[in-house]
Amino acid sequence: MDIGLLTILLFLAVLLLFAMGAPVAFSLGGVAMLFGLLTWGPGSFNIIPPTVMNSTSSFLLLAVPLFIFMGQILLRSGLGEAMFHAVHVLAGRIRGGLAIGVIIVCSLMGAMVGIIGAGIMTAGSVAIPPMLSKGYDKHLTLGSVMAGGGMGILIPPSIPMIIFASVTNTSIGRMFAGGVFPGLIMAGMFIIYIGVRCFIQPDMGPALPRTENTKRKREILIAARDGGLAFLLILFVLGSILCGAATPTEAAAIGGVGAILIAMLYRSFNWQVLKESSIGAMKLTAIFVWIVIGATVFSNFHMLMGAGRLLTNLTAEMGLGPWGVIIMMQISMLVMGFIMDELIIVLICAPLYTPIAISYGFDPIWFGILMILNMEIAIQTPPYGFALFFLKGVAPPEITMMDIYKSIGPFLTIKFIVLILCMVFPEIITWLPNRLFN
Amino acid sequence: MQGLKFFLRVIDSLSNRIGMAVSVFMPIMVAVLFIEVVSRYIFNSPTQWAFDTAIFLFGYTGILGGAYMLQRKEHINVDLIYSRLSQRGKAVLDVISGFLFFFFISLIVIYCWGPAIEAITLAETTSTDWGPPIGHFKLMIPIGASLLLLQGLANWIRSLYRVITDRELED
Repeated sequence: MDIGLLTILLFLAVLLLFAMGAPVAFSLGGVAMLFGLLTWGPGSFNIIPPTVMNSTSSFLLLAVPLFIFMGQILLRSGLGEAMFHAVHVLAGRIRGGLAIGVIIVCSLMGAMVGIIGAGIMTAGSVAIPPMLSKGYDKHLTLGSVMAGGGMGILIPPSIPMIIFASVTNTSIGRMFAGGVFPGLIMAGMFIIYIGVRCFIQPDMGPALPRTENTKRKREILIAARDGGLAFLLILFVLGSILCGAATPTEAAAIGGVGAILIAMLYRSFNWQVLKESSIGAMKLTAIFVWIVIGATVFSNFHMLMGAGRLLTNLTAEMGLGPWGVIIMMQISMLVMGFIMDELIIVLICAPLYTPIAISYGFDPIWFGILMILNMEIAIQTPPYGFALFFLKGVAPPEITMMDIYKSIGPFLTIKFIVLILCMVFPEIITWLPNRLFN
Repeated sequence: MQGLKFFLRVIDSLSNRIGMAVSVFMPIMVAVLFIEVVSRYIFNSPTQWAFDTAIFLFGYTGILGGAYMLQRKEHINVDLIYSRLSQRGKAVLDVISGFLFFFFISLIVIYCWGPAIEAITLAETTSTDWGPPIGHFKLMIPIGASLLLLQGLANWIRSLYRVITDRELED
């Protein structure tokens, strides 16, 4: 069968299975092997054993369950709550201060865990109720939680970045370093937007009243301690990766122990928390491993059938030029991201697109970070971006899906601006990794 | 029918127990690698065994946890249309898509079985300096996939019952 036609049928079959509500991991693997049987015969099943073996015994992917475990402990440690409390104290008296605080705390949490869920879940359940009761605008509140929590995959450590590095044979350290400046710029633009908006319209985010001076000093001390702890953990985990002292897997193990120490410090560590965190981490690890198996079987089969060559020829024939190709690829990832999980998109698109981007002379790290930025935008785009549903799950019951849809506009616009900035000025991404690792 | 219900409950409880059992591996994995980091960077004498052990724990947790997640129907799916259907409508789709699931997971069982037996009979080891045997790990993969297959079968029978009678099999 012609590979172009095969590709179209393959994706249509996958979409059909997805629409039927079948688990994505098994749909991807099953569809690929069914097509394998129909085109190549049973010989195509031989890709299964090595694919399964590589997906479960990769030293790079080992960092993923460790970061997941660290995140599970941190979620239950009380550090998130403490950091939000600190923000109330430190920034509450500025207009829009609580919303700005959400962005800062979420950036810090993004630097500790590598998934989107953790930031949105903590910020959503801890920060939203007090912000609404203090008279913050509903849309500003929801939008800042969504925007901040979504940065979890852009600010290293990041699980999609680990996957990108592992399937394209690039360095995880470089990927992590590449995400630092886009993340900082994005957080900075969110903060400026919230600050300016609340300065012009004070009722969007009213300033909190002053507290007594003696009480305030004590509160600032506590806030400083909580902020300091978070910084210390980030310094250890991220610092050791970025200065090349430890591999991401080793750093993740340090992070896991560090998270337990922090939970102990907040007196929230007990047998129950360890058990819940272990079960939570086991669940996410099982989901992760089976998605990697299914999506890698799919991707390996598709590549074996000649998808890479097809795409190379196609892009050459269309005469789009290097930038046209990059933009086309990004549009396709955005469209896929409207309905699919970011892990699956990275697993399918990274091995397919990255070699082509490299052949046009682009930097693979730069391309990888663009891919992450596309995921950032896609998963928060109404109506089906799945991060929207995360937020709905933890927000107070009176918040409707429509409220969430209406809140996201300005923040999505900022994400687009960051994406375009990174395309126009690649140095935003490439400067730090080149500086650190050359 | 009683026998069938008992059989389904046994499968559920098997998936559950194995899932809970492998969740213990998560903190152990962190501890093992932390010991490695401390001995490498502080005592300057890296362990030989830490990485292989951690990778084994990772694989065991991920593969064997699969059936636990299937029992709870927590594997990620896209539920744009699915979540709006009636119980019976969902069951119809589950029964149909189940065939593809059985096809794929059976292939994993069948095709990973050979390499596992080969690894055990040839006493294969990992390629690290420590070089522990790897047969148990390769055998665990078809076993984990078989458990997944069993749990998938239990879920499928329940869905089929719902399609036919529009009632829950066990209530």
